[in-house]
Amino acid sequence: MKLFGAITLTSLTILTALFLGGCAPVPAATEPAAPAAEASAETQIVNLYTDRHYDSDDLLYQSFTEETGIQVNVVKGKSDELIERLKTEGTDTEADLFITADVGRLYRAESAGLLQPIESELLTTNIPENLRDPDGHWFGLTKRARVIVYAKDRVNPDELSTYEALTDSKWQGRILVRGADSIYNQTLLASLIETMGEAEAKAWAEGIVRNLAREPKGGDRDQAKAIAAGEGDIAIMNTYYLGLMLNGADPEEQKVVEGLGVFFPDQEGSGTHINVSGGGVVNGSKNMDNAVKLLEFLASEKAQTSYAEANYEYPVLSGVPAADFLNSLGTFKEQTLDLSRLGELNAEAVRLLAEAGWK
Amino acid sequence: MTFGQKRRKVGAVIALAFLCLILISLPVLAILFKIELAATPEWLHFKEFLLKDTVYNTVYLIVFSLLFSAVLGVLAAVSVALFDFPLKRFFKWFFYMPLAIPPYIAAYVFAGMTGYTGVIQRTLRTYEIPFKPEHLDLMNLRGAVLIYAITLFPYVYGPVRAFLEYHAGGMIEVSRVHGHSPVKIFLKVILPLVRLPMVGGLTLIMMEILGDYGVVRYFNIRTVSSAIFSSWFGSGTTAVALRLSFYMMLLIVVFQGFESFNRSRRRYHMSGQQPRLLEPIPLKGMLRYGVTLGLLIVSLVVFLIPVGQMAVWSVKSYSLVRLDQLFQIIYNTLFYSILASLIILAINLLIVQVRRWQFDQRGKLMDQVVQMGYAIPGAIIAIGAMVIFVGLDKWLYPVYVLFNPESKRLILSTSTVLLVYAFVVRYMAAGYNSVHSGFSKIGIKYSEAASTLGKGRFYSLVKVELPMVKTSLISGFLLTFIDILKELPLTLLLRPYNFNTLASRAYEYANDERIMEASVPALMIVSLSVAALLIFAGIHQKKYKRTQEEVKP
Repeated sequence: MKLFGAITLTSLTILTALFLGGCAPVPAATEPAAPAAEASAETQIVNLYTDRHYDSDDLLYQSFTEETGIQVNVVKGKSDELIERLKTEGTDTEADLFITADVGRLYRAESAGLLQPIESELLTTNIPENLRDPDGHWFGLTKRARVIVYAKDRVNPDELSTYEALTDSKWQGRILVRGADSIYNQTLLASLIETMGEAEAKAWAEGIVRNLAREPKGGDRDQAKAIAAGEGDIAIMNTYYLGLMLNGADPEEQKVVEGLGVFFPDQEGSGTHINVSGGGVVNGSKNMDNAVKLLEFLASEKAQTSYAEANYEYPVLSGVPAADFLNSLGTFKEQTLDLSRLGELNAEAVRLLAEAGWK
Repeated sequence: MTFGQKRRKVGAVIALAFLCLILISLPVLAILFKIELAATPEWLHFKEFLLKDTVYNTVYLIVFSLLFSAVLGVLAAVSVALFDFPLKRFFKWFFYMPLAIPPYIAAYVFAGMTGYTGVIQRTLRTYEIPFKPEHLDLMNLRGAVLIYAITLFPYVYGPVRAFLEYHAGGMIEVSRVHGHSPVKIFLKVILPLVRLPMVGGLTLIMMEILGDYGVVRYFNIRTVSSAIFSSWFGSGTTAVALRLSFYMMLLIVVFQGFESFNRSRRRYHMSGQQPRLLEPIPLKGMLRYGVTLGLLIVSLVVFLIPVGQMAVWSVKSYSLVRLDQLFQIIYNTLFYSILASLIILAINLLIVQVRRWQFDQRGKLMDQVVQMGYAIPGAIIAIGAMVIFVGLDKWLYPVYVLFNPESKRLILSTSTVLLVYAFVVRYMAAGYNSVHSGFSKIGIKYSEAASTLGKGRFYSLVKVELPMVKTSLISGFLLTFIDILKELPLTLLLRPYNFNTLASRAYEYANDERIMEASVPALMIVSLSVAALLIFAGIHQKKYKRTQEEVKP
């Protein structure tokens, strides 16, 4: 039992040391983020709530700090919960900027009165009109396209056309998609409600449920893998996951993507559904100018290039090329719907998904 | 000290205990306060389309996960406590290890392994062995049951094994002497005996499952917990979420009430205070290696394989993971887990004292208040705690201004104080059982004896009782520590700026479906938990040896 005794003793010593160390004032060196919101004359700061948690974003914030001297303090969380936090904190909040990966959430934050309108010429020039709020409550920063992915060996892309056509009985037992909780599905359905009306959109959701290869589950990557496994033949998913899989650490995932084709639906009609990730300045922001500066930085060519390359999202700034992988998929016609309208329709979309039996 | 002074002192302790209880229940009350049971359109819609599925899945998960955890836990405990076979000493402590793996991480790892790109299907494809991918699919109700059972069964295994080892010796040996068959002993003696510790463990498991969100979210199973999330955070309407939280708490109160009613109809007597150690029977022949082999397979599935897989993934993805500030992250993780666990231990100690001195059998309500936070999804507790703290900050603002005229308004609610408070509220139950059962084993006779000798309860507590329950206290602390180490939703919602823990780092990758990268921080969580479990094993092994020497004739 000597071994256990020794382990116990050392571990306890380490733990105690850590604990006592913790009670003592923390030396500045180990605390990279000095007390967050205390903006003194010397250090300029901007406080950010975000549900984008990519390492590449952190690097962008770092280079923003290098360029402007403004320190970026970050809380990463889930968007809906961050919205709830902002609601609870009210105008006393210390957050200056809220960034999230879906227009439905941006709209929800706006309609809860959490965002304030801002005017910035740079933002209005760089970001197309349909990708931002008309009053400047929020601005889209990157685009994601929700496309149809198919098994190259089993599906001829000529068979594919629109989102609507997926409800055809020839796809019975062949479609893969995520669950109703996925915000990307909710916003896709919202766009269909806008283009074809509520009754038709509900019928569409029911048609998809009828044609499912299996009950919805997992994330977008899991849909791609299920095609490779032969569980289904086509999947509705976002393009950037394919880019991440193709360039990730797992050679098996790379093989999966190689067997898949990407089809941009609705090219004859209203265009392929796109969603944005974007941000808005928080109502009650104490560092508003810095928040606007950060937004402008994120809409600048440098940041847009990084978004495109590191995360395989489509840049909103025209002229910035998409990543090679996305370019290899070709160009496509986008839905030009007003995204703020899709935000409005989110609640209805959620309701219809439940009624259609979409799990 | 006069009698009056003594009474006042005791009165102050009771008041303090009640203050703690109130503080603990505030976030839950803040949520319950908003509840309205009127039939809102949202509720009617939920009832019409989603309620049936939600209830069915939740009941299915609870019933089968409890069943499998109980079977696995009791079988493992009985094998280790009653018999001798190769590697027994290893298994005895090893079966605690699955507690080191957070269930949602286990869900990602097992789904990854059994999925198309996972090692199993890849191997089958390489050797061209025909199989149906559906058969390997874990992302469903049965898969979730498996994940819960293998990550949570130690909650049953631990108390049952300890009980059998220390307290069942006499009864089992009597039955052996009377020539009863092993099967009969198992059914008629052991099962009734271990019921008490088993139910304690199962209650914890049930609460973990009710509060869990990670596993069901990834597997896309609609449960009460995931419905609370999607209706509150997803649709921004609180009516359905609050109502469901209310039902969930009701369910737990009913379960606990049912169990204590059942328990009160029977009487349990320990065979004296002297523990009676069980003399394990050496197994012979095939059985000997059969048991070892069986338990080895269990060990592989519940711990070695998933952790091995995480290690392989970590090596592959190491270069893609950002590891700057790693020291700070580990420091945050350890510091706040330890701090919150210590506070929980102190409060538990206080409440248990008051309960045994003043309330005895009528203290059930206290038990329930203490445990309430454990059953409610973390994010709900987080919102409740935030509401309380923002209110507190508003109230204290005049005081802040006294010190600093330019003070910001939200001081407490943007500090780690809020986070620690929420940890305490949520994880009180994790350590409570250990502390409570430690003290209920020794009863109050020592403090009674002390008072006949003219010494007070505090004296007997510090001098006599605390040393006796030391092991229980440390166990309670360590179990709480491991739970908080793995904690995610509270940290995500309540953390101050630039505050990261290992769990939040793992989440950031896992949420983006980068499970390989997530393995790196996840493996660090597992290592820290394993270290804590080794300490746990160490002190218990020492206690066992000590008892062995004491009861030696």
